[in-house]
Amino acid sequence: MRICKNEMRMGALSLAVSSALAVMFAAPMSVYAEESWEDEVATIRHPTNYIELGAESVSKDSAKFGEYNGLNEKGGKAIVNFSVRGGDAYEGGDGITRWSLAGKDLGTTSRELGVALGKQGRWNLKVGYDELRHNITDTYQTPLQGIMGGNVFTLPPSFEAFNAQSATSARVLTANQLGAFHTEDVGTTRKNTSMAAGINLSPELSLKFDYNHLAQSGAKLIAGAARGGEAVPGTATTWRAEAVAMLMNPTNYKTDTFNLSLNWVGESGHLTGGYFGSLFKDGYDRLSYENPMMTAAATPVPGVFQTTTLGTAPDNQLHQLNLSGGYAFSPATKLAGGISYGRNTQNTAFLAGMPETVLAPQASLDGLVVTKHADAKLTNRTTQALTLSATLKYNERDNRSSSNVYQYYAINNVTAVDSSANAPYSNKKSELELAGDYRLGKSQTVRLAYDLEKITRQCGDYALASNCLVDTDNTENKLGVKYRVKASGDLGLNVGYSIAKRKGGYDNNAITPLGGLDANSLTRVNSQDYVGFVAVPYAARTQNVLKAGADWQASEKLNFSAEGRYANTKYDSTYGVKDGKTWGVNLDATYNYSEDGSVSTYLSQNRREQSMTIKQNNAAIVASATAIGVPANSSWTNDLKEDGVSLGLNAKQGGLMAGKLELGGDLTYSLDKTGYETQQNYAGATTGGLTCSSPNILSCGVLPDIKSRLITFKLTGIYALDQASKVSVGYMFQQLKSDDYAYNAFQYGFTSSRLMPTNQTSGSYAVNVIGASYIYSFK
Amino acid sequence: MKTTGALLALLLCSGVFHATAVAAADDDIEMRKILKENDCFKCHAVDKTKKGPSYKSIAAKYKGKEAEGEEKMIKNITTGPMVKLEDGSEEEHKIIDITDKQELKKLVRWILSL
Amino acid sequence: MKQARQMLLSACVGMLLVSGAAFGADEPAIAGDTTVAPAKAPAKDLILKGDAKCTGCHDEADEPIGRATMLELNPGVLAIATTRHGVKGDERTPTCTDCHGESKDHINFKGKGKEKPPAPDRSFRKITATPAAERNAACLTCHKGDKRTHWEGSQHAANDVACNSCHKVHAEHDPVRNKKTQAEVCFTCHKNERADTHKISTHPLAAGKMGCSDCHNAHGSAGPKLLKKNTLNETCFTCHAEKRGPFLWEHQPVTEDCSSCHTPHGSNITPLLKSRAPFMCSECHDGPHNSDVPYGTVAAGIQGGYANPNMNPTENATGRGCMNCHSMVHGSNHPAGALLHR
Repeated sequence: MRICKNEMRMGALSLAVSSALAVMFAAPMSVYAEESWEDEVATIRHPTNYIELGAESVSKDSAKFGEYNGLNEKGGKAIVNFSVRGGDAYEGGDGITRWSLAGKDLGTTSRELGVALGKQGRWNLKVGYDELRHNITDTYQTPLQGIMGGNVFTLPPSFEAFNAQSATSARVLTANQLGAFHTEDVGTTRKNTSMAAGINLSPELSLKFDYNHLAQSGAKLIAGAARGGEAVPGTATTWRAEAVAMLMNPTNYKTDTFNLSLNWVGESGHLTGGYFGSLFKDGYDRLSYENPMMTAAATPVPGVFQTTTLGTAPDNQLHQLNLSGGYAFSPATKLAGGISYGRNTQNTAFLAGMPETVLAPQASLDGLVVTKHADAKLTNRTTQALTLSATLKYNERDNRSSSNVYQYYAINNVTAVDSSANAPYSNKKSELELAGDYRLGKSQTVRLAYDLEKITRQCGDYALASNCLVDTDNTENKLGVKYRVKASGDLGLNVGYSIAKRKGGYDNNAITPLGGLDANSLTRVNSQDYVGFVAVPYAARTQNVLKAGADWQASEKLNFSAEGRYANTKYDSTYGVKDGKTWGVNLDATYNYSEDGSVSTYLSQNRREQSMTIKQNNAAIVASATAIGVPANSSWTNDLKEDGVSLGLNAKQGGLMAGKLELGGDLTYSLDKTGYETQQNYAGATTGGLTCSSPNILSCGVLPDIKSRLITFKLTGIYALDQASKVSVGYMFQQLKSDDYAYNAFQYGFTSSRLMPTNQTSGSYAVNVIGASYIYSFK
Repeated sequence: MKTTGALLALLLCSGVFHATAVAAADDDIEMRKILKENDCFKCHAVDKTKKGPSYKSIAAKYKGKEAEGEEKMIKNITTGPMVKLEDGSEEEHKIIDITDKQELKKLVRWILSL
Repeated sequence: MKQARQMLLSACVGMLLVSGAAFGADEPAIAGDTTVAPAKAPAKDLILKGDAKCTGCHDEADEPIGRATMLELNPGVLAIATTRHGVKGDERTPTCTDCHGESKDHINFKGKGKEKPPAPDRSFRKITATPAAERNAACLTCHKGDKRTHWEGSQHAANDVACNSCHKVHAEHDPVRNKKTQAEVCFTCHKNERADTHKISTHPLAAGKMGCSDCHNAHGSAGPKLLKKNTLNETCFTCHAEKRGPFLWEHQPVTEDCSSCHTPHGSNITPLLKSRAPFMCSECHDGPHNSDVPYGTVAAGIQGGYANPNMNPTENATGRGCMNCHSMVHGSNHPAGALLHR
């Protein structure tokens, strides 16, 4: 800093301090009176470059805290950020060369690095690298041996099967089995390497190319189920017991994405033609694991496997040609639109020699999906006050894959062969939108919009003579009105209402790939659903939405805004989702109490409700003396209730200590709850006097809420040592309290005999992070 | 943590030897903010001639005659008389938002001290 | 000594705060309309070609004091020099009046008491008399086509969102063009999504690894809800290509619309689900196997009160529910995977 430089010469300072500070004051800016204003302007032109070096320390291990920020481990991490730019374009003359080099978070697994170079108006080139490690869990335990990210998992040689005991209460893990469990840090890493180039062939014509290579590794958790297969000791019955294990499903993927486009921009029109390609490769074609529910000595029984194999995502490719453009017939009338044609193929060889496959008529799918798109939008400013627009869109997914009947063993089936025909699902979607905006005077606007959406679904080359799906088409009409007014210079209000009616067409005779457990599997209609039940995405419904908002700039320094939304949906089907309601409120206030200081706060609250009625399709179930007997034609309901609250408070104060210190604080609180309640519309008629809420059955009742509460508190201080140097100190506290009943199933000592424990928890944490860094800026 | 310690030490050292500059710098910033808020810098730069003379040249002009300078300047910024611009044309001088005599005196004195 | 030191100090502070350079007195800059016969040498452009009539007043002397302020009531303008709009050598680069209009009234304003000059022809302030469409027209003269092909009549255009509602042209760094700061800009209006990013299951928006523009094109698009690609699924597949297929055995809602089950901005139910198995699955299935069986607190297992010593809480409801067995929900390419088990 200039003051200090001069003061140093005049005042008395220790040599150590002055030399240390001298290093920091190496900024190239000059202060001397001999400089011309041109030099000063030159300095204004120069971009601000900076290098930030520091360290941060994390107080605890937590995969959930470090989910995306790379701070999942306790300890220190380096803070390395920098951005340097240069080139003669910044000199103010005729130069047009610009280059930049930037890096962020280089000390963590969320690092990114980029370099760019170009001559503005002529060409540009960019190369970048971006890494992201998605930490999923660090509490997962498994007895299976194999690396995280690999695709073969085996059991230790001395591992005995569990579930072999006839008395369920005797099915506990032995000490030997418990000893085999070990913890794995599960996560996936994405590494994106990208390159982008552009060249201006002429003032109107430019060519752009970009390429991205995404390499993924690591794993996500997936459940794998296989038949237990052990006969119950002392009985002749083979025991139907799906055996479920949580596995580390490898994400060994590579995705290459290409974009090539030619852009032409003229006086009244513009046109872009391009190619988009996406090539996906999976490094593994299967995930194999040894089934811990099986002993090594089990007699091979059809449908019973010691090693279970799951398929993984097959390689696929998409090649797409796009053309889009616009034309202005006049300043008031404009047309824009585009067309696309894409081919998506997949022909990975099926896993061969699998014992569960009884008949596979093909060795691979030879899959092809042709996607077509067309859209056109016409806007017309009919008068000063009225603007009209009309939009047409068409999208088609034409699945031209072949269809055949396959025979296989289901996982809960020992002897019966099941059959299904694969369905090449296709659909055609058309949309029409007509809208008009009318300005009433200077401050009011009314918008009226009508939307028509129609979707029809087809089955391509389906091997069966019937439809492959029940919901053959849907049509939705929506009418909306929105009114906006600027009540005074500083108060804006808006209110809108829309009503949408959706209808559907159904083919209850459709035979879907769901199959069945007997020779009639290829004749089961209506997806085996009760006629009168309609799946929610396709059900006829009426939806009303009301929105309102206000924005008040109370003064130049104070701003308030409020908005609310209420939506009500009623479904027409007898069974299925019956209705849904959501409402939400958002309140914001910002107060800039001085040039250097501001405080802002917000509150968001929302609630969502949904209820469904399901018919107990099967006839009375009398499974055992402990189960409820369900009367025929009875039904049950399930209600979803979700609440969310989010609060935030943010404060910034700069200009402290003669403009050198800037403080910032941020506090956010969010609480989300989701709850389910099941009720049965029949009186429990049982043997033994049990009701649905009896602790031995629990088929009705209110589930404990899935709750998460997140508190984040951040405090930052940036102190400017001089024009070039700053020191930044930051502190963050984040706490997540998560209650989720889903994890109960995975705990030791609980073990449903059919579910291997993993000891996973919901990831609650309380973590402190403190960091400090030195930022050197220069021009 | 070591880095943090070193950085904090550095911060403290700079803090210490900046302390003496702080008091004077505070005033400078306050005065400049007032000038900026009232759009003074649109016509007067500190050390460059724009539509109006630079503050340095004003300070130089009234060197030794501070009382007269103060009076003239306060008259300009409170009554808005016609003034001659550097390009020869004439225009009313802007009247600023400050009316308190003490504050006005503080402001013009600061300008004359440049 | 003290006075000299103070003077030097003030001079230094002055020079520092006005970006650190003193000026030679031999190069005056003259503001004002160049059509008026200048008494001295013609005004010199500061940053852009022909900006002399503006930078006569809006020059480095008039930049904000110290570093960028919070409020930005009167933001600095010269930082535009560090942006692409400041590259004089590129013949396409506009000058001040190309965007703000000729503004003769503003330039020729003669002082009158406390009055401020009238706003330029096109004013881009927070409170402005220039309608959004007119402000946008300035930008669209050059920035048309390519990603802005579908701007006219798009959701933002129809709601009077102006280019400068999101973009800061005069700032060295435009926050909306940087992934780490982009979401904050969008949250000024999209408050529901702001609340969603604080939920337990989200895309890496809060961590700054993704920005809203990774999925959306705010300037208008052919897809629904301003998504970048023609359909929602296509947009998701740009990063999640492993779900594109086509698979041998497909799950129909997956082929039509990922948002049948997922909600992209944030959810209380991992992973980004609208609801949870088995209840979510019962929204579409009520016949096969367990989808029509009621599950109450048994889904919470023994900890939920299930006490039967001879049976165990069924894995059809606990843990991942239906997906304990039907784990290949996005589709399967296994010849024996018709029921999405493998």
